[in-house]
Amino acid sequence: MRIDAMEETARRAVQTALAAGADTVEAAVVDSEQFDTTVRSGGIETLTESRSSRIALSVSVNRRKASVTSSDLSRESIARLVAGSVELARLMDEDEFFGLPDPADLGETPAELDLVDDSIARLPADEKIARARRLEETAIGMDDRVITDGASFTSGLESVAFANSLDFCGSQTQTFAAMSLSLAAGDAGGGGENTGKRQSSYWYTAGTHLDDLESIEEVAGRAVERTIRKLGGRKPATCEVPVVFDPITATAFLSHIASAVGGGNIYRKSSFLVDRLGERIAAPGVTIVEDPLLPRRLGSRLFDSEGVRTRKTVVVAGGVLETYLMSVYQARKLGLKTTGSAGGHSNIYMEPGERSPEEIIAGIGRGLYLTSLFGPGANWSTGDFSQGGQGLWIEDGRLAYPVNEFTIAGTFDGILGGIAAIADDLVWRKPVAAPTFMVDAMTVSGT
Amino acid sequence: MIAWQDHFGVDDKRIAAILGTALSRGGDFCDLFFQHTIENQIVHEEGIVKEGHQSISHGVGIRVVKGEGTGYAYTEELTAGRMRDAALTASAIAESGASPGPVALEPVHFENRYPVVEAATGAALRRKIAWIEEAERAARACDERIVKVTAVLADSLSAVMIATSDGRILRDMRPMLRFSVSVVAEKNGNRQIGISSGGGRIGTEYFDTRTSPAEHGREAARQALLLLEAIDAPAGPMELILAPAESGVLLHESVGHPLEADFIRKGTSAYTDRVGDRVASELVTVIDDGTIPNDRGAINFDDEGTLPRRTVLIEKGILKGFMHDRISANRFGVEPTGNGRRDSYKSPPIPRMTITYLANGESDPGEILRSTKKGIFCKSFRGGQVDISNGDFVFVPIEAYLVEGGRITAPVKNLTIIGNGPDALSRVTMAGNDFAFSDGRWTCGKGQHVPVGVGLPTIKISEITVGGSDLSAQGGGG
Repeated sequence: MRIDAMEETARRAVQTALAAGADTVEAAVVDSEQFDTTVRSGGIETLTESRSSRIALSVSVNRRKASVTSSDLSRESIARLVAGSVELARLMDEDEFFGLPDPADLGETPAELDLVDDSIARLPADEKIARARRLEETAIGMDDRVITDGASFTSGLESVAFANSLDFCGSQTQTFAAMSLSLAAGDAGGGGENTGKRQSSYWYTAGTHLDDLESIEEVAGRAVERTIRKLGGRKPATCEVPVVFDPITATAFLSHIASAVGGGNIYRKSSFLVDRLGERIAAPGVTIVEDPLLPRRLGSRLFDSEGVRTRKTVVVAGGVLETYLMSVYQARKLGLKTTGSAGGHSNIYMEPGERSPEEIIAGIGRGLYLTSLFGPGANWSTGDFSQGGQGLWIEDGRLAYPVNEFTIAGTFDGILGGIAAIADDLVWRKPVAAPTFMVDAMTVSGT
Repeated sequence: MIAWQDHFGVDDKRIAAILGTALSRGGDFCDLFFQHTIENQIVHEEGIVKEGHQSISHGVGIRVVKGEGTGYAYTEELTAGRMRDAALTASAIAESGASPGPVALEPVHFENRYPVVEAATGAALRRKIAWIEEAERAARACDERIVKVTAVLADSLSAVMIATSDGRILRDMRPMLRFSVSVVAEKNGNRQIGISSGGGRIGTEYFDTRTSPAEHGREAARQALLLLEAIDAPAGPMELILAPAESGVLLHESVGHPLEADFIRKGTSAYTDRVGDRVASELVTVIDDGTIPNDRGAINFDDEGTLPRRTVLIEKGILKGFMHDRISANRFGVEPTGNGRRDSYKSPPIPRMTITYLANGESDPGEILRSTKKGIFCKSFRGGQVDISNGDFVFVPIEAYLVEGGRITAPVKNLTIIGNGPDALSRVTMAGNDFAFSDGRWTCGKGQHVPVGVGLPTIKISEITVGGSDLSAQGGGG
């Protein structure tokens, strides 16, 4: 659908709902196109092309709220949807905190975000498949111990048109492309406990522009390195040591913090950061920023899902919690102002430091370099943290040997407060990004 | 009763034409997956019925399979032109140029595994509101330390029609109900969360026949209050007792996923080439069975039209077989097992579990506890995850206790259990005679989300690594 037709559909849905008795209306029309191929051992494993549309409507009647979505955008269907939503809203309880944004906050931030790469649409399907094939071949050519679990190329476009009953109407479009590679390798293990076990790993690159992706050689090289260096792994002894989070695990950790500062979790009291604005929650070196206005980033946007103008927000400054990330409703519940974060946060990152990861590792006598975290044990609601891990053991400032089948445990407060060093390696691959950082002590549970 | 062709606006002739287009460049087989889903959700939060949601989705997914390759496309507009375009896109996987003749479609008969008295999707909204209010009142009445209660009733009804190039057509109505209560309990700045949820492919009779809203409310409150008193879990290797039903999530992660045959055909699972090997203690028999009536994981047929069956994966410790979709079954020359499942018309099917359980044992559960010197007793779980390539898994208990000298001594919190599938199952030293299925709350995420069931009797694992943060119990660590 053309973007002006999408805006027209959104505006018309707003008018239809007002006519049906709604007091306030918000309508979003989302149109997406995606191409996805996975190649394994040279053959095409999957080849998927899709085009999808949906409309999402939120209405209120006397501050009673309902929301509906549908994949059918025909006029008749939207009329039925509207009628159903108004009827549903009338049966809800009144919510005194509900309301549309202050009209002064509505609008598009004047900025050039450069989120559309026209060359993605022009790249033929055959070339996308060929790139996935080359990625796989390159990795196999680098080390004959790896077996492939598939290389993929994904690309597409998403457009959103949004209108509300305060006469706001806007739209934004973004393209994306990504390449990924999954590998495994058999562990000869030298008769140790992992002999005969397989180890697997992956690497990927993603961005709004083809030119921003890492090269095929880089992606293959990182995937091979991350797989091979797991071979010969041991289970570490149970102990308390410094832990270095690599950019993958650091980013996973930061994603949990992004949830914990979300206004919805704060007013529901489901966050360890409830009632802590203005407090020191992290070591003085830690600064965490939400920035929706970074050019060419996957999380960038000019207005949020309520039509509120976006802006850069410093969430944690020098270890002090400055603000939560909130929508209009969440902010009203907390007696605060919206940060333009409706629909979830945009780009969020931890500011990098000045030392290289190698320098940080070199300063550790005995510790853990953490490369993978798994399981649902990062409980930012209560602040408890206990996850399965994989990584490399650090001895005398060097990565000595791989370790696996252990857990690391502590608390979010303990980890944030214990961040003793932050490296300079901030790389964007999704809307959350964190550099390597070191926590002074955590409990590693193994043998 | 819905008139199916009218529902999707296509007749057998149109379906045959789309199948023909999809296979116009060759391919081994092709299927069409039509789906129309209505989902409802109402949320009770902070003392009010806060918001109602409804979502409607409608589309057809077209798949062409050539060897182990899949061409896939879907459209949400069920017009002849859009469906033909999608069929041509999916056909690009094949290159032989062969064009098969027209397809004659025969309806496939199947048994209904989820009869419902009253589908929740048709129930009056006022009754749904009464249920969430009942749960909220019950939770709040438990204790003044309960500071937040959220109750959610979610239901859906999905009309599915599958047509295949081998001439089968199947039509199904899939109901689903899920009820969930979460509470926050607070005392002196310590904040804990309790959750109780359940449901299945069942109607509103669930509340009378299985668990009432008030019971869910009280259960969530009980858990949160218990956790206020919990101590930090110890760290290191120790004995583990798993309580019946919900503990099946450990089985799902540790051995279920690695036995899904896509990982086997790709050679990435730890169980590749191991049929006939001893992979677990002789107390361990593991079964996947999508026919358990009204269970959350029950299916009348899978999402490529295969009827469900009882598949023995491990029998008395010996690996017997895998869970197949049509692609992996073809590759290994076996019958598909009814495990080809998908999230919706937007995704092609892949091998997935249905209801995966460990068969009943013979030990008295009390005896299992009394035989445990030092360990952890786990009753309910937040979830888990597995590394397919080597079977290493983690899972996170919600309600767990320290066991000392054959007795439960204290509730513990903040722990992750980590182990290796084959290793943990070889250490199953006792299995109880108290088997039970979970009260329908699990959703499995493997790229796509599907509802699943789990089940287990009480079992004891002689040694597993418990990842807590308290090192004092083992004298400061190594």
